[in-house]
Amino acid sequence: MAVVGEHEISLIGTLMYKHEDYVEAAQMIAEGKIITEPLVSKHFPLEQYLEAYKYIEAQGDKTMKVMIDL
Amino acid sequence: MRQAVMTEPGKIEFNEAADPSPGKGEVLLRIKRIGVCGSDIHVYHGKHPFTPYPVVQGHEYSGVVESVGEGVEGVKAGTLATARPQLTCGKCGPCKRGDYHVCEELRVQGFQAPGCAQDLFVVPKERLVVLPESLTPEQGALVEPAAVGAHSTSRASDLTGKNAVVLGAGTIGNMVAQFVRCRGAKEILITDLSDYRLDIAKQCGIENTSNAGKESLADAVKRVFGDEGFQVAFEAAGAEATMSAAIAGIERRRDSGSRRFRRKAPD
Repeated sequence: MAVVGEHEISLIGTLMYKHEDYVEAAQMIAEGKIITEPLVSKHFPLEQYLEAYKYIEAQGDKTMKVMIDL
Repeated sequence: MRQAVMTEPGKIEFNEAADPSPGKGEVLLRIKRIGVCGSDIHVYHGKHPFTPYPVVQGHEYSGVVESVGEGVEGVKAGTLATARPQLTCGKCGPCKRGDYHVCEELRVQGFQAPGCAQDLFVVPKERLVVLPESLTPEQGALVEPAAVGAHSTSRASDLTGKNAVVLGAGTIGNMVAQFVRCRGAKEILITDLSDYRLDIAKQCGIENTSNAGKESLADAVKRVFGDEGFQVAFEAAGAEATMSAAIAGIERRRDSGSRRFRRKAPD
């Protein structure tokens, strides 16, 4: 923290989002400015919710977003 | 309807529950996709400090509007939508000034309140976001982590023309980096210990990557930014080491510094 003081660095916290962030996120995805396709690693049906967790655990850092399909 | 309940860490039971119906000002969604996030995994392992069991998980999702309650106008059945999972008190200081996302009594659906891991889910219209027609159900479920990127980057001062470092290339780091790009940064460097995640960042158009296990931040900064250094950093790895490296390396005296994601809170 000494460096933060001596270098006059600003530390700013951030938590979740506000409604306008949701609206902007949806719009940016629609405009293709936020690319989502490479992020989805795998799908599981609702009945295999637990298998989704086991898959994530087994894959370690070789997985990103896992989706549950209903 | 089907409902998935995590009764204890590592155990999910499937129940048949009564179909809910939307009350006044509410919308009934037929859930289509639920994204599993890092905080959900903490709950699965019993390591989420603020989640009691049993819990219905699911806070990043999309669904199709099934029906609407009394007084809801402009929301048509069949429309793809999502909703914020934040339950707020409306009475505390932050809520009164409009900063409900840091409500002193904040409860998040899927953690301290039931989530959407069921066929039908009721949400109030004020938390509903009707999605643009071109979005797929997958993209709809990714609006939540994308919104984390939108919010965190809006906490920074103007990013135009700045060099930015994003520490961590998981879903949140990836979304933050893409929003840094949207907000006009000059060059972006993203770091992670996983080449797999760094490759996905590249596929999302974040060209400059560095594996922090193989290259120091100082070396990567030199390689990517040359003598310009970096003026803003976003910490999305949840590790003290990356935070310290960013603090040590960032250009002195700039209006915006590092961002810290609270890894133990729902993201």
